[in-house]
Amino acid sequence: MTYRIGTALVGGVAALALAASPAAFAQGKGNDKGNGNGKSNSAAANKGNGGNGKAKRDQGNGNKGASASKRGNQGQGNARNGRDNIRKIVTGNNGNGNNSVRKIVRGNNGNGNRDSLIRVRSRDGVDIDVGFALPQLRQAFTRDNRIINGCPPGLAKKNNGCLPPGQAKKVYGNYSPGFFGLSGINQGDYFYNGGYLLRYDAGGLGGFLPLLGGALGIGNIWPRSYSAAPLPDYYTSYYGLNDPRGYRYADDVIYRVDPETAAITSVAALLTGNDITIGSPMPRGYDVYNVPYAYRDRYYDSPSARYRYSDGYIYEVDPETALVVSAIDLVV
Amino acid sequence: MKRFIANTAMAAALALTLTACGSEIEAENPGVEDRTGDTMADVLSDIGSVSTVASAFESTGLNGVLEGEANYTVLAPTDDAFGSLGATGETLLADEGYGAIVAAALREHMVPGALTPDAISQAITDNGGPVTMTSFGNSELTFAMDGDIITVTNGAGASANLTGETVVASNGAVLTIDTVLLDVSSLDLSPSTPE
Repeated sequence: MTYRIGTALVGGVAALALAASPAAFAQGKGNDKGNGNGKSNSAAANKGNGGNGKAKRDQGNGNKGASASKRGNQGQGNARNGRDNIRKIVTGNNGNGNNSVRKIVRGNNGNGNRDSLIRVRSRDGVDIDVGFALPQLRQAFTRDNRIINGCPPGLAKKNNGCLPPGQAKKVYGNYSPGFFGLSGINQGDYFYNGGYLLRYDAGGLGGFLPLLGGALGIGNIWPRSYSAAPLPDYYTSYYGLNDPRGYRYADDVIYRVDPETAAITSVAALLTGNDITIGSPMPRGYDVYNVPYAYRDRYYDSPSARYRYSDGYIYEVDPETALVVSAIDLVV
Repeated sequence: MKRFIANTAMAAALALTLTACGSEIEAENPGVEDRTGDTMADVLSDIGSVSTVASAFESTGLNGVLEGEANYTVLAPTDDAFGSLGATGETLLADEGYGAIVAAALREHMVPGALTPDAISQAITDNGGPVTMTSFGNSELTFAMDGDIITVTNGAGASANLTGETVVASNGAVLTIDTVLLDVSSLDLSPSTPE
């Protein structure tokens, strides 16, 4: 269930840099981060009560000219005692009182995993929860366990689909997992065969990975053994993935699948997978203005702000510090 | 009646004026074609000089990402660029068994958001030298100026020039380039399918 802050609730949100806010992004946080029921109601979220890892609302106002950064007790909070770690950044004060103050409060979900929830104070002084948890997105696909044991079923049916290591080296093409956009997986010798990446190690065939455009091509059935995880709500909204059974997310690729047959029907999106965090430096690789044309009238580079698009968000970057100042929600 | 005729004439004149001037995007970005009424998937398939890469997007299923809300820039090698890959390139594109390799190569030609040559050259100027953009492939892409020409180089050292068309779509941009950012000599293409 997704809750959003409606226009009526937040007042002049439409005039803000930040449109709507899918606060329910926190949904499911309790599964693996020990922060209890993270389902978030945007209205309730403003209460900022602890116990569910949400950020507390910051009532500060009138911080004219102030710039403050406060880091909470990172990694110490937990769902049971309801203690949230809060980070506060105050920027962009132009001397106009509350209307000029932008606050970004980043909640800690209680076990040291930051960025579970971000709350932005608009130029109109309205707090808005931004469902936002890039670490959660990055962790949605468990990297350590994603190599599937054995020989791919499609290859195992054929003779020599998975040759012994010595022969494999002679017959199969040797490829780095990085070539296919895969990173952070276990070491070993990798070979391409029939749309799969086969891993060989000292013990022989160590498992396999199905590949985009190969085993994960259009019409193929999603391998049941290839685990995929639900995307945060913001991404399902942005990429139009209404049916949780109708997509799979793995290795920075989102696939649409037939909910009944699990056959891949299309590739819905590629994600950079870059960890972009408010308050931290913008990662390398965003030197060029790349904001979608539909938003260029509002978000254009100036001496006081740069804007860059990545994975469904526009990020405001401070030109002087190169720190990410805010994330602009594009789901209306 | 006279007023109707006058209004009609004015409307026609206005339409002619708008047509002559092109869109605001085209006015602000010389050399850029405005197709913001269409998706990237439509635009890519319409550019006659990049039919090979358009076909590759379709065969790998990656054209699906060009139909959605998210913005992408595709550095689209021309058909001539693919032709220069020779027999290896032909084999790569013709055999479905290599689909994953083709998909990986296409990802290397994709960048988040909408880039234009003007924005790239401006960034190079502002930076006082080459700039980088993350790609959806294996490496960052580095843009630099070679005289008046913008060059792009990937992490493996493959380089191309942005010398062709630039078309802006509703969800991104297509920038044509003259070389495929792929060293086919480094590919091991045997076998594509299990033996």
